[in-house]
Amino acid sequence: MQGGYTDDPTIENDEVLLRRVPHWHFYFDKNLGRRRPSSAAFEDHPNGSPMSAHLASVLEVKGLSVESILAGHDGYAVASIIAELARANGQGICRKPRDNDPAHAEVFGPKPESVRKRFARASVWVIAPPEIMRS
Amino acid sequence: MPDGAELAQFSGADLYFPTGIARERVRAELRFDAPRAEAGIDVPTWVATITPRLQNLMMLRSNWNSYGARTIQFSSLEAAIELLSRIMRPNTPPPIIMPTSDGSLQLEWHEKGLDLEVRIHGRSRCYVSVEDLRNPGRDWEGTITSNLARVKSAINELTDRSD
Repeated sequence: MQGGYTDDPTIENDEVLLRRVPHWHFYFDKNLGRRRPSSAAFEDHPNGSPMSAHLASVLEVKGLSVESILAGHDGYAVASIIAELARANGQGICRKPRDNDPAHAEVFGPKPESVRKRFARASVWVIAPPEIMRS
Repeated sequence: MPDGAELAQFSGADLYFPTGIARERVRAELRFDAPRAEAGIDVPTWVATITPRLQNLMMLRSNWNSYGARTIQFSSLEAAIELLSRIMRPNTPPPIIMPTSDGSLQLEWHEKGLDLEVRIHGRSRCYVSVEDLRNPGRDWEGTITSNLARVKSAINELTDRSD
């Protein structure tokens, strides 16, 4: 796992991890018969920081909607995976609240293609993509 | 760089870059000759399909994914096109082209029971993942460099397989 991070045991395995997905990163998977995010939507930050996510339970406690994490991000969708899946694939999860973003968290650990693909395929849309696909 | 025949196959791509800057960059960086489609050379359908997408991806600004993504490097585009020119057949389904947060490109096909993903890591290196939903025992993944035989084989299977 990435150094300096510790998996937070207060984040339950059934915690829902939310991830914004730009329209560039979803498409219709003909094999699955549904739209899904690309594995490229589940990457660490290019500067080496872990992948950002939002904790659904914190949004709920704070009285914030899922839509709130899309403020200023028109055309995005929101995909979710559960914490148990992340941990089963060698990840840890820690809270990283920010100003005006109390539900922010980071999912740390190596994310080879195989892991990112598992996340992409297992993800569930919380806010589905717009119907019209763009090129 | 692709050989002459491959360049001929791709020379039509620059016709589909409608903005002057993008077109000139493509011509300069990929060393495309004058448009050969004017000389009657057919351009594969998949070239016309992916070109607008590539153009749009090259226009992305930093942080295009809201998580700090980098702009797509032109070298990534160049590498992707070079790879495609070596593995694609005229009737191969077009790839879905994904930008990645580090400024690279990922080529994907998810159809006909095959899941094929190619992450471009430069002009001579890419990571390939092949999953055959009809024959799971044939799945493989790994880094490839100059030898494209296994990728070509997967592309041929995709091209020849019926829905």
